[in-house]
Amino acid sequence: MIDHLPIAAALCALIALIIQVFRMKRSRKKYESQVNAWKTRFELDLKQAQDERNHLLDALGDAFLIVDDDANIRFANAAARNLFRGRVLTGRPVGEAFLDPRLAEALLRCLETGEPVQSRVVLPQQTSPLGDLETRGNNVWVIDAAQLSGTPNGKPNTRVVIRDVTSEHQLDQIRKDFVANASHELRTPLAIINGYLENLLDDGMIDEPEMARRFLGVMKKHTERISRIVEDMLVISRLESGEASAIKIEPFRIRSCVKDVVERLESVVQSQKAIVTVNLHDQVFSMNGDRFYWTQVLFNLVENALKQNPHKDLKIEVGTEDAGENFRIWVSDNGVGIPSADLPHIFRRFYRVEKHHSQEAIKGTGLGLSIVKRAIEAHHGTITVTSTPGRETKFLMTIPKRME
Amino acid sequence: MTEELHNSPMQKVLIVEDEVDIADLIRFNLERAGYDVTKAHDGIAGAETAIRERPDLIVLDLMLPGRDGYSVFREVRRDSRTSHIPVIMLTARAQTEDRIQGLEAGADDYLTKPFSPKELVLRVNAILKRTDGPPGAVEFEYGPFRFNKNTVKFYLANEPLDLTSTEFKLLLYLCERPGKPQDRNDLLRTVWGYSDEVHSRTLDTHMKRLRQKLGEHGALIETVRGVGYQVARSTP
Repeated sequence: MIDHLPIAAALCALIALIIQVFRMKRSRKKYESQVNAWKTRFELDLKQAQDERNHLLDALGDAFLIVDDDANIRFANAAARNLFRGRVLTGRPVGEAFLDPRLAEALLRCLETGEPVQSRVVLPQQTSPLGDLETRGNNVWVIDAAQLSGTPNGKPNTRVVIRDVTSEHQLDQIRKDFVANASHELRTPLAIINGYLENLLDDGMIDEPEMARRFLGVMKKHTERISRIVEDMLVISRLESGEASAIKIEPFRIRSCVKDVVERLESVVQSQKAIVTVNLHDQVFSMNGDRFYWTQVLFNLVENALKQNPHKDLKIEVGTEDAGENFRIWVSDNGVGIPSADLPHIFRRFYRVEKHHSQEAIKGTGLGLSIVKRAIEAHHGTITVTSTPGRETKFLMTIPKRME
Repeated sequence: MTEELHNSPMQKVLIVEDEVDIADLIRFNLERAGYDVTKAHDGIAGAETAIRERPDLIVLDLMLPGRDGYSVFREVRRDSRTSHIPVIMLTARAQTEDRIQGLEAGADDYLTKPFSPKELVLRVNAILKRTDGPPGAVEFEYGPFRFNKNTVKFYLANEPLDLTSTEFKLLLYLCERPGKPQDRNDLLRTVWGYSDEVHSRTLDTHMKRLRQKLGEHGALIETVRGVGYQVARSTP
């Protein structure tokens, strides 16, 4: 009996062990399936989080990339893929993906030094970051790269933002050109006033009344020229401000504008022996818009025709007609016309067509036609110009009848 | 001296300027200073008049209708009948870069608007002033170079070579002082009558062009680091 005891005990222990193992196995299985469920959920969550992140980054207007320590691209958002025209970026080295070395250079500098880098890249005409042909004009990009800390493997990633600032650059260029051109336009009359003044004061010309009178006359003429330039610059900057208050929309009579213009230019018309015909359609009796600008538009166009054609036999017509939804207004002449090469540029500020020295007493401000175009656009209208030299040069404006 | 001035024909200046009142202002001041003045009001007429009348100096506005000043300038410099005529450029473009561009193109001087008429007359005088030298010494020879100070003609190994009056003056000044390094500022003042940053930056361009024109003899002009230039003392 005594002999059986240990055997029974051992048997019991074995059974208990087997039960234990069986239990453990079961619970492990349960545990494992739990872990797997968590894992799946976690992966789903992660995927969702990544999708959300990508979605957010894709919504960014700027190109966004993440580059790892070995200069391989790990992530590129939609704007980046777009910028590089759908090329596969992820997984490729930077030097290979950025064909233009100037863009890659800024980024590689950041990778090397670990310091944030911001650099402006102006790519010349007809190139893109891809290094191939694209639209004309300068493309300007700002590339902004900075290291990100706290990556899982301890190796820093670098985030890169590439921003297209081409339109800002163009606006800036326009502004610079305007200042340069305006100061150029002002320098000439200033040079004249300054020069004649110096002769008057320092060389005793003031004691010769005849000469002094002549000099003063010239100075007065160019003082007026400066004030016209300044005036025109103000008008154009007001029109370009895009503010609603820049123009007043109220009913006015186009006939009275035309009358004003003809009266103001009467002496020039008479001295040039030009013929001005006014041909107003009765329906275009009252229009909506800003009388001040309409007078200026017509004045500039008629004066322009007179200036470009100082010879005899010039005929100018100012006309209007009703064209359904729109009014049409035109100023035409039978003068020298505008060379077709110049036509696309004549509304540009400070653009001058005259190819030969004109004997006109005083030059225009170079802003007249720009003002015309801006004023018409401010009235939601359009202006076109056609020219057959010696036969007809016609500025045609189309203005909607209803102004909102 | 005055006798001589009266006997010598008046020096002729051509003004190419489309602004009538500026052209009149310059003419008035140059005529009072004793010059004979012709005007042209656009680029095409300017180039034609220069070749037809061969003035002693041209005052050239750069912004001209028809043909811009640079194009007129290039034609005047290309044509052997006019290539020696000194040109003063006149323009409303006042950026330093524009002025350097003008001088590097080979203009003898450059004035920006607004300018002082008196200043213009002084610069015309400085350029047209005949190179001073001992009386009678109209010709000056140095190695393969021969200068005629009266006609401002230059001969290289007895062959006439076109130099602008600025180049002529620079080379003559150096050759009259062989083996002596000439300070940049002294050179500038001698040739242009004054020195400023813009002219200093173009001195080297003038020297470069001068060396090119002299061909193998260009090496006679030596750069003296930190000082300026010198012409090597001629070897016996």
